[in-house]
Amino acid sequence: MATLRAMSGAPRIALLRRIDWPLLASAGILLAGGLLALYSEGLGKEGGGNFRKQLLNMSLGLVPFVLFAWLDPAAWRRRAHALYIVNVLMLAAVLALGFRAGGAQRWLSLGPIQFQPSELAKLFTVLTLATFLASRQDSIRKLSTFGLSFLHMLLPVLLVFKQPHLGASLVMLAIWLSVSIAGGVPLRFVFGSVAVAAGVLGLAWVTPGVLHDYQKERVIAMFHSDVQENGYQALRSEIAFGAGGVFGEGYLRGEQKQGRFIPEQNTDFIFTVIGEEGGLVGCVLVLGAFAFFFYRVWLVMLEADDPYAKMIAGGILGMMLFHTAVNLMMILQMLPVVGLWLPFMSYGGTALWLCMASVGLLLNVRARERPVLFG
Amino acid sequence: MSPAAEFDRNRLIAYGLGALFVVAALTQAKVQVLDRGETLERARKRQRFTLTRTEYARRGAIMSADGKPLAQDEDAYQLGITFARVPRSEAFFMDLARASGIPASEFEQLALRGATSQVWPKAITPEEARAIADVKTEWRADGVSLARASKRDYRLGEAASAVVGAIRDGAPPTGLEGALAVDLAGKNGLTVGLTDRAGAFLPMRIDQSSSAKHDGLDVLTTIESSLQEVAAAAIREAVEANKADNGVAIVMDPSTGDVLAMANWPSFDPSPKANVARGDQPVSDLNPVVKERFEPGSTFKILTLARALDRGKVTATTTIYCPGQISIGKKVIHCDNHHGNRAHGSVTPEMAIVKSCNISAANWALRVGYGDFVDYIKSLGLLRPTGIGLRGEVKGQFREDEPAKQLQLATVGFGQSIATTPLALCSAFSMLGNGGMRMQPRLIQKVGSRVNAVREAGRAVKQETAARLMSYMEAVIESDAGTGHALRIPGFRLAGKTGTAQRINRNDGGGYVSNFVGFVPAQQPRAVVLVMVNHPKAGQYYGASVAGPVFVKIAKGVLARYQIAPDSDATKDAQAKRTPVIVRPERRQAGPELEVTVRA
Repeated sequence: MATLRAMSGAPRIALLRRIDWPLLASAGILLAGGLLALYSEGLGKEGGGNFRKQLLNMSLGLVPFVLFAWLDPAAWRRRAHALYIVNVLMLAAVLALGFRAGGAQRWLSLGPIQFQPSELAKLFTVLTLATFLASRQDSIRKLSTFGLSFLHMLLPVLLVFKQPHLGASLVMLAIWLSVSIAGGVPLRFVFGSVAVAAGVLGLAWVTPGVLHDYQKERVIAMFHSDVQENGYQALRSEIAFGAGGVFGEGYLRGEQKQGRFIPEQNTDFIFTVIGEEGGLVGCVLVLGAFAFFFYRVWLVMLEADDPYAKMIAGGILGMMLFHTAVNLMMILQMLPVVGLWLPFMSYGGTALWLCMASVGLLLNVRARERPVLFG
Repeated sequence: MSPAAEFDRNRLIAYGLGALFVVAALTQAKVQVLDRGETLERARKRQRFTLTRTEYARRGAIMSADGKPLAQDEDAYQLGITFARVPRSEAFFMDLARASGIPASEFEQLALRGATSQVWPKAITPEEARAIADVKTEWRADGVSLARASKRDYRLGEAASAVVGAIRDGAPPTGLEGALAVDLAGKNGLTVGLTDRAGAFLPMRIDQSSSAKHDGLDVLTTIESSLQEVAAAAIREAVEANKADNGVAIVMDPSTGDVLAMANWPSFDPSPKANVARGDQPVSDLNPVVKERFEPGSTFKILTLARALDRGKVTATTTIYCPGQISIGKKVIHCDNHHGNRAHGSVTPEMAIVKSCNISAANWALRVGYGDFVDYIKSLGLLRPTGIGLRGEVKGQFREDEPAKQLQLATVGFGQSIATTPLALCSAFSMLGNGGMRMQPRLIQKVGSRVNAVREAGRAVKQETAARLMSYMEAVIESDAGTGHALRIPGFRLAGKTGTAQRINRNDGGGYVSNFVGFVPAQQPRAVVLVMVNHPKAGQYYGASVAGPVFVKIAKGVLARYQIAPDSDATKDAQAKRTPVIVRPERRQAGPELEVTVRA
């Protein structure tokens, strides 16, 4: 097939000219918006909060970005087994060697850099699962294939869940489902598995010892949001939105922000800064930027002929969408606080690197597809 | 997969995506615009999520050496409400009323009248305080505050109030309470932050203005509570029976300098209630033990003789002829009139002590010489505050710029022209009970873990000199005719000296200070006791009859406290060794006062 040839055979210099500029631009806008919000949040804090550190993270993120934009995705496909093993080993290493922060063991240290393997696991899982399903396209409509793909996911998901990181393990399940949809798994399997998952969660809730108390408390807090800390976090963010109104209080002028009323506002709750200072207008603009970004990712998925490429795009779309949707719903108290960052905007090195690597990979896939489809 | 299915699938995703963002935008609009008022209303109440909790530092206790609390905090609080920061709900006021014992109607009326804040004078018990704290947490009522009320329990009451002190409204704390105010007070802890539903502070959400609580330090004194009570009761009785102005009694351990008791009368009731009820005068702040000066009078002759013997200016056999009076410059010093004859004739030092011969004492002082004698007075700590740790301690008075130095020296020899605090005087005497080594007076053993060590203040006289003077003083009590023979406690050897000093301030008609210095027991004394009764006006004023009985009561207390075994030979021994002496009543006259004459 011409497509396959194009995937691996296009000259690299030519790829540069085929960059999906709208996709890159929308990602850039989101990154810039995040920086602005972080700068505002850090104003008046010692050392300006995390703004400078995030700038540093962003420049470090150019490395994974270029790496994933440059290397032929087929290379990841050929080394899928190694990738899977590395992924599992890193997640196991976190449990064995990692250090704890905020009650969970999520971090590994590599010299001066600390990172969360659970973030890398999201991208690695997209790649290994896409490889797995791409090599089984003949039997893609069989339940056994879907079942095997579940087993493929099970080990990394359990390792992440054990950290404990409920949010990340849910993201990986979302990746599993979105890669499956992109790969052509029958939708009834996908929705059926969601129903089964809901049942399992229900069981986990009533079975003691499976879910941590703090995880349960967060869910409970949703319904008693005026008294408890977790609910407090969410309620505060709602107040920030209320204070913002239509046009917001103006950049760098937020009151809730200045009062430090919202804990961890620079990470999971960065959107509240936009809500308070930018008001509804700012929020809708940011939402619009996200919508446009996701539209471009969707296009990558739609226009990809190669199932492997399609599934990579689908997996990244699912991951980012899940992160965005859950983060916003969490802020608006529609979901419990599960600690999922807002792509491109929240403060945090590993998360940012993951986003930038994902954009690199998408540009890469897109550039290699395009000449065949439209050329 | 068919192209149609493929298209449907992608279109489904696209529609889903679109719907998601429409929902997101609409939700955002609802929260930020439609429900804006409601969300802002919640923001207005935001203070309710932040709780401020003050943990009141416990004021340190003042403990006696035997482990009894002399001053101790009784937990009591006062309720305060800032109405803007509590819920205006009847149920809340009802809960608060149940917890505090204050009628709910009071809260409601104040809230209705628009009061901003109110503090209730009622003392809140610890149980009530706990219940109120629960209500505060349950209702997120940050405007409820509990302030520690100064409720202090003084176990010994007026028996120790001058030394322990008291905390009263509108007046600086006195005694040890005042002197160690900073150490005792500690530092209140403040926790500002978010609480969970149970009211526990979330460790990650504690505001930076929070600070840890540091309880006040406990103070361990050297006071023996039983001796303090005995001394206080005895001095009170003596002052009241003799219609005296005031009186003090000090008990000190000569081997350590520890003040075992420090009592005075009149005293005051340190409890806050009593102050309000009686409208006590600030006179209660006066602790004459360290704040008043007295002339030591003839008890001082012991110290003069000690120096003279120690320097070899006088020996035990040196006789001095007392013609009844001598002239120094234009002044005449004379001994008291006995049997119409002032002259004591030739007297040995022991006889001179027994007869309380002023001429001898003046002679000893003159033999020692001005410079050496002044050094001696200073080395005894008589001219400086003892630094015992109480505020307002005064130092002794002695005019070094006095032009008539020889006259001054002669009179200091028998305890005039010098005035000192009872505590400094007691410390000076104490060295005789410790082989001539004076120990630094000590009232505070420990503040928290800070130890105030026993220290030597310096050797005053040689050991044999001290021993000789102790034997002279033993005779005063142990011989049947001694001035202190009535002060004997069968089975025990005691040493002491009576004294009757003129009052320095003669504007109010003169009068006397009846003194007694004694050691319990005479051998290896556990305690030196100084008693002073100022201006007795009921007829008697002699040291033996006014101050002496106080000594006996205290001595019995010391014997009981330290379970000192009786010495069966004590009394016999003393009688055999000593010349019998008798007491002669004496007319009131200034100066010499040891009312002792040798029986022929």
